[in-house]
Amino acid sequence: MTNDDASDLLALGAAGALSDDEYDTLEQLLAADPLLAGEYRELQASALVLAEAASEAPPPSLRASVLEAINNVEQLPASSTAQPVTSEVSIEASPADASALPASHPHAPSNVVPIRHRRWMIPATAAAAVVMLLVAGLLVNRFADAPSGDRMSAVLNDDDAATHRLTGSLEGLRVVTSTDESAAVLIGSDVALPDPGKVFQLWAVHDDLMVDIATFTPAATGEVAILINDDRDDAEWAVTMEPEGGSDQPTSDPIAISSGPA
Amino acid sequence: MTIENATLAALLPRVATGDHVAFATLYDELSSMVFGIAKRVARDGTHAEEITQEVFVDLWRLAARFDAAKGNVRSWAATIAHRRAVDRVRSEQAHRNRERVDALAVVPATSGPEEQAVDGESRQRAVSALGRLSPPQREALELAYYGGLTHVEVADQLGIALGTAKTRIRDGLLRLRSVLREEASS
Repeated sequence: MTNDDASDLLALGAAGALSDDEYDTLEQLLAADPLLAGEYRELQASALVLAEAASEAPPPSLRASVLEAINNVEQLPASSTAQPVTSEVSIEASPADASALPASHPHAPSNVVPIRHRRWMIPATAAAAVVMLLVAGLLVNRFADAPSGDRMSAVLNDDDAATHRLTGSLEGLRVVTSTDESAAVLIGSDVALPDPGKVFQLWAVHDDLMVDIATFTPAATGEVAILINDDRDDAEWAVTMEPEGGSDQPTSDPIAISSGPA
Repeated sequence: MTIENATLAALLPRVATGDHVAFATLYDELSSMVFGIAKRVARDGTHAEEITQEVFVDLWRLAARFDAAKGNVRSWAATIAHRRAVDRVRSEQAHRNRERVDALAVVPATSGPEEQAVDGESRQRAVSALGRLSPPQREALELAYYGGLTHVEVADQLGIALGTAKTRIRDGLLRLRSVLREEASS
């Protein structure tokens, strides 16, 4: 990449004018070169002019709503290590309640938040025909009031927990299963967003059966953390992309799949 | 009048400890900018309110991760707001094919009474800075930022060569940087 190319990339990135793939390139560039990262921050500050020029008073009622909204939102620690996460973390998380986990993008300096997320590309993978096994209400943990942070912490800190790494187009996701806790955690960082109008859906795979576990959408920061009230330690795991609300059975080939506990 | 970035940054450690008063101050300082970005990009007041709430929930959750040595709070919040707004527009576009350009209002040279009452000083400085761009630079930058368009899409939208679109966006942003430096040194 020439200096001109790098300069273009920085400026276009700060203006929000790159494609998702180009943002990936930019993030790698910033991670490799602190000087460029500094220049990028300065350009972001310049782009702030556009933000400030658009300033407009929100409705007064919004203030109370926002202050109310944070009451039950757990704050994240300064470190980016895998820690227990909010009890609101999301199954079918809307942007409003998504688990906005660490801002620490592995490829970007602190405070440098990628403006765009990578647009999902479904690989043309072949997959065996699958049969859906519905176990209604058995597996999906739609915890709204459970102390899930503690539970997640227990799973993640269980010395006997098994980690199932998913490979494919959603690398970075893993399922940690704990038989002691009778639970599992789907966790990951830097996970791409699904296509607009779509969600990811997690399935437990038993032989040729795929069991619906949960739908999920990564947080804005690409983080995922979902507590699953079933350890399923004998299962493999797969993720498909489905229409909003999820599907009774997969409508696309798995885009990520585990290959057994590590 | 807005408080300085250093003061704003000093709020973050307090917010990170769960200080609701500090968070309320943060909201008061940033909400107009966040809401403005959201409304300009999403072009829908209801969506803008939802986006604004999402952004502040993010700021609450992530306050401990903010590093004042590596950026300023306004840029951080603006980046999050812009990203969420663009994501929302994309999501909406999945449901209905929107005409983007019609609603792309160029930042007015003058603001209404309501807007002037809010954060008027910094907004006026920003509008003034934008006024120092050439019309083609400003048009390209606004299409990219407020329209959520990539430089390729900007080129298509304007019917100009890709290289020209990149140059206009880049030079526009560099011009803004130059203006800010002039202001800082004066």
